[in-house]
Amino acid sequence: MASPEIFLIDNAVIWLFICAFEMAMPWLVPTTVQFGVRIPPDKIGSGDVTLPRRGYVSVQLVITAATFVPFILLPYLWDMQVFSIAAPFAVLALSFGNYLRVRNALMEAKRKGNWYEGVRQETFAEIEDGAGPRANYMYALPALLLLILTLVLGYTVYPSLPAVLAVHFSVSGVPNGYAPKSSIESFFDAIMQAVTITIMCVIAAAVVRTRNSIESHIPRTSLVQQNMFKMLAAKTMLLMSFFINISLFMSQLAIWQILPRSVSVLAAIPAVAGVFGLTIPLARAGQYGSRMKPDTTESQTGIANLDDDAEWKVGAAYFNRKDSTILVPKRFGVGWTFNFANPLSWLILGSLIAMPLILLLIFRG
Amino acid sequence: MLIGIDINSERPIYLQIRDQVVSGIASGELVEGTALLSARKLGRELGVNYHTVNKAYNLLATEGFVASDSKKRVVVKPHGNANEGFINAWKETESMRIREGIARGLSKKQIRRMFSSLLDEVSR
Repeated sequence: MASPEIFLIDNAVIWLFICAFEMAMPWLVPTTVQFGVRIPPDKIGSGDVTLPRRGYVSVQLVITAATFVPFILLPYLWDMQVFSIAAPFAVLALSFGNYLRVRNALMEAKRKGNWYEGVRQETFAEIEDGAGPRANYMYALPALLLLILTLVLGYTVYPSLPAVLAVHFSVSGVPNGYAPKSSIESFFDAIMQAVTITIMCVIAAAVVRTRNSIESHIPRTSLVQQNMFKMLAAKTMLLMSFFINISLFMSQLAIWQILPRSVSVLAAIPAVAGVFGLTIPLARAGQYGSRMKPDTTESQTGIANLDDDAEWKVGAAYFNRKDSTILVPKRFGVGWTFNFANPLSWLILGSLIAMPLILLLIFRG
Repeated sequence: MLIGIDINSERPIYLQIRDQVVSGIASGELVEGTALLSARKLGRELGVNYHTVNKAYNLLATEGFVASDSKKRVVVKPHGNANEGFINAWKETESMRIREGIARGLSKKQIRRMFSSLLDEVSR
């Protein structure tokens, strides 16, 4: 198959994934936070919430259809596959507009109906130290073994390699970058495997330590769900490093001429498949495990979470100067986001963006 | 053990924390030697200032419910450390409660029944 088509298929898969994810989002987040708006327990499942949600889904269907034609179908028919890269971004931008529309309506209804008036609000916390979840780093083992295999193979073939290696290929698999075999460029993908494992271990360690956001109407169940979710997220990250490393392994072997050059065209597939494939179980668990069904019995307390809408800009960006936390659970999404009022968040975010760029500049510049 | 804080309540937050730790010890949920989250971490989880949690922990320590261990963690003290000073202070508070009840017209029988049912409820 020609590589521009693979490029289009890649983008179409990502596009479809994002369409589905955005459409399912209101069901993936806790029932007490819809479209970034805190909902008191007595409003859960009421028409005030379900009707706007239905409106959101209808518009998402329109967005799916409307982005398919210009960003997938036409690029395919007119052989301009490169434009398909815009498809996921178009969906994200339009979905955000749709989210804002529904969110504003919900905020208005909440304000007009005084939803939180007289509602008992409490914040729950686990007070025991060491009761939190732990990451199981054994899940990093496959990635680590693959790295060792890569190094062993490299050590074995090194003497027989030509003095100059093709280290970079165009999307159609034609070499467009060369480096001496002794240079760091010829080991770049092996080094990146080690970098990936390290980053994923750091992320896994960080996510199990993130703070809870216990649902006050079902505190016990919610605590168990959140612990389960954090462990699942850590596992997902560690397993993801394996799939990313398969891609790096393939392209490294293509550089070392153990595998044919054409393999480098397909190298991205395991990483993309792994990242998306592993995200599905995490998404199905719901944000902070809100869809998980732990073995707990609990009658509803009737207590609401604190109405903290004011600390979330447009219901999506957490900005709280009084809070020293860095990572907080997303409001309309699965996973974590930064407390943007904390300068450390910007520092981490900046270095996360800068690190791959610096690596590229050093090794490929 | 889960604790819940109502920041809109008239009861100060540090006292809410203190009350729930004491209740946890009484109910057996917090056993001897259990380490509590550091003031900073608990403050973060509850969305309150860590000074507030510290105030609760200090109060619990002076009241003899918790103590710092060698790692500077706040741990639950052994149960059954009621000394004479505590017993006297406790008697005084309770006799004041009884006097309040009598002054508002509660009979001896009513007070006895209430004490007995409360005792059953709390210690199960």
